[in-house]
Amino acid sequence: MIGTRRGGARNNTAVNQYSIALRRQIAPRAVIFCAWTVWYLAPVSLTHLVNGAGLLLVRMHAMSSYSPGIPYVEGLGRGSGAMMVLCGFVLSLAMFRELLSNAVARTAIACTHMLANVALVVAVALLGTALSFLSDTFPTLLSFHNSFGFEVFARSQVSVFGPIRFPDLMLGWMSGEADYVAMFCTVTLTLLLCIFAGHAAGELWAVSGAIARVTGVAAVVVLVPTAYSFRSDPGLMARYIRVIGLMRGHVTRFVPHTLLGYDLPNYQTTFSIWPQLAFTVALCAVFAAMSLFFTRRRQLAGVQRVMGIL
Amino acid sequence: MLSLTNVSKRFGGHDAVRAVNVQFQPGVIYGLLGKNGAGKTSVLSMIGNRTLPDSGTILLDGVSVVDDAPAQRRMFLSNEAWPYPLYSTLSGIFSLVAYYYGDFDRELAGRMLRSFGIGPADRFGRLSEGKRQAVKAILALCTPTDYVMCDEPTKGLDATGRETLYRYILEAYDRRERTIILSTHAIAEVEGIIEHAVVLDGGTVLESFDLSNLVNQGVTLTAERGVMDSYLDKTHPRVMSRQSLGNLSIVAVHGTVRGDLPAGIVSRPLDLQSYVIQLTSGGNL
Repeated sequence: MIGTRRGGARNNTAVNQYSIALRRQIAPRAVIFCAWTVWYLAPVSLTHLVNGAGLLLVRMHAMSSYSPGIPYVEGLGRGSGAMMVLCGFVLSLAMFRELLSNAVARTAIACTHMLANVALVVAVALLGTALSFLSDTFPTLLSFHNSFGFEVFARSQVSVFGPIRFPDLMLGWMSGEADYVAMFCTVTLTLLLCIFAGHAAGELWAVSGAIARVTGVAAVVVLVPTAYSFRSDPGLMARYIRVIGLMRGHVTRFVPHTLLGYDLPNYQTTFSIWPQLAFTVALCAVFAAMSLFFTRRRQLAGVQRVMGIL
Repeated sequence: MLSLTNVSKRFGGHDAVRAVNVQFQPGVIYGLLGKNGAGKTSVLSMIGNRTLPDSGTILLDGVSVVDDAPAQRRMFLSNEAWPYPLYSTLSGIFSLVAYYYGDFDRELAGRMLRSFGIGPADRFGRLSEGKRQAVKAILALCTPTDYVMCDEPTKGLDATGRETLYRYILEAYDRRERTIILSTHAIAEVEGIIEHAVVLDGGTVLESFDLSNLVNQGVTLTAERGVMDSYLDKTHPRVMSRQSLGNLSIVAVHGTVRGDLPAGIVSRPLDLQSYVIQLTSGGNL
């Protein structure tokens, strides 16, 4: 190396490279997390201001209402899942040029991108779980309701770290029982799946040519509304719910149920969380491998199309 | 030493770079010269890891620089792209570059900014084309790397700005010896700066020579057509181009003229720009 009279290049070990890249990757995600928090918590403050200091019960519907339309996003609500897909997509396009142009290797970019995505998802899931816990523990102070699917996991119809158990029928998720570990695991992995999918899509977009991009956008524009329209087909929905049930390891048993003094035949359903988590982890691994594969082949166009962004 | 061996690159079915072999020695200022589309930008992009070579090796002191962070940390490429936040202040950008590369020569950067009439609180996205180019050059010259590559560093700069930049290139080199590779079309302007020229054409290296040897690279011969034809038939020199002006014949010849010239032929050494033009014109002048 040439002797330097003034200054000298940074001693760049592999750890140093990862550390530099990770800190830069986390910065925009921290902004996103803050914006997300403000966006969803702002109504609480606004309600509080409108109703005066005496208002103790604040009921809030964050994210979206229950919808079985999108597999696995159901666990948290469509809003957050879509947001994570978008974050993964945009950030994979936005950060690459800066990092690659400043001596960070492609593998390090891909790995730190995924690590930063994990950090964002864990933060969001922790916040959601904490709000749900606070809502249960101090309902007079805060009643934070996530989506119905999110609540289901919180209310312990799943059996996580023990034998499968059947809760009292009709009490269900209204019983007050809660399994926040199940909720946190499911929400984290569901959002991770979304953001990894967005990341892989962003990398695929980056290595694709113009024709492939137009074809991809056209396919999404056509297929998503078509798939969404299937929601109104009861037969397809029934099959879809059966598939989801299989993924979740549903266990159903027939039990007589006493309601208002009458014995009513009914079914109790519960499920193990492990099949869903394992399936989600497997899909995450597939998306992560895709992202790494595409990133290692990614190049910067000679002519910058949008300065400072792409 | 930075060495490229049989490096090739295709873009959309077009050979941008074809089996390039060239070496860049430490502490030398190079000029990467050639026509538009010669492959200069593509070569620099591959050295700077922006694009990946289809074949061949790029080694820095024996280590491949392709996607190798420690090797890349010793090089800085300033090209058309702007990889930093568009609306950050320039002092913020300097801090960001220091974050990536280590010590940043803020003293020199401050003086260069003042020379170009730019303030540290200015934002890159709000600067004129010429000032943006100046900022890119400032980053390249003040970053503590051993190899600095500037792709068209004077593009958009006025004559005063170009002279100022050349002065700072030499000052930066004097402050800390490093390899500087200038890819430029302003050949006449860099003739007094560069020590070694690498001429590219059609994606391959045509010539690589020290500027001290320029006088031996080619000459222009001027004579009446009959005298010139007779001389060329007799000596068979390597003619790069030939022009006729009435009865006058002007021939650019590669290398030096052996022996004494016959009466009526005037010889004149080629300057760098003329030589590169003759070399890359393919006799089409």
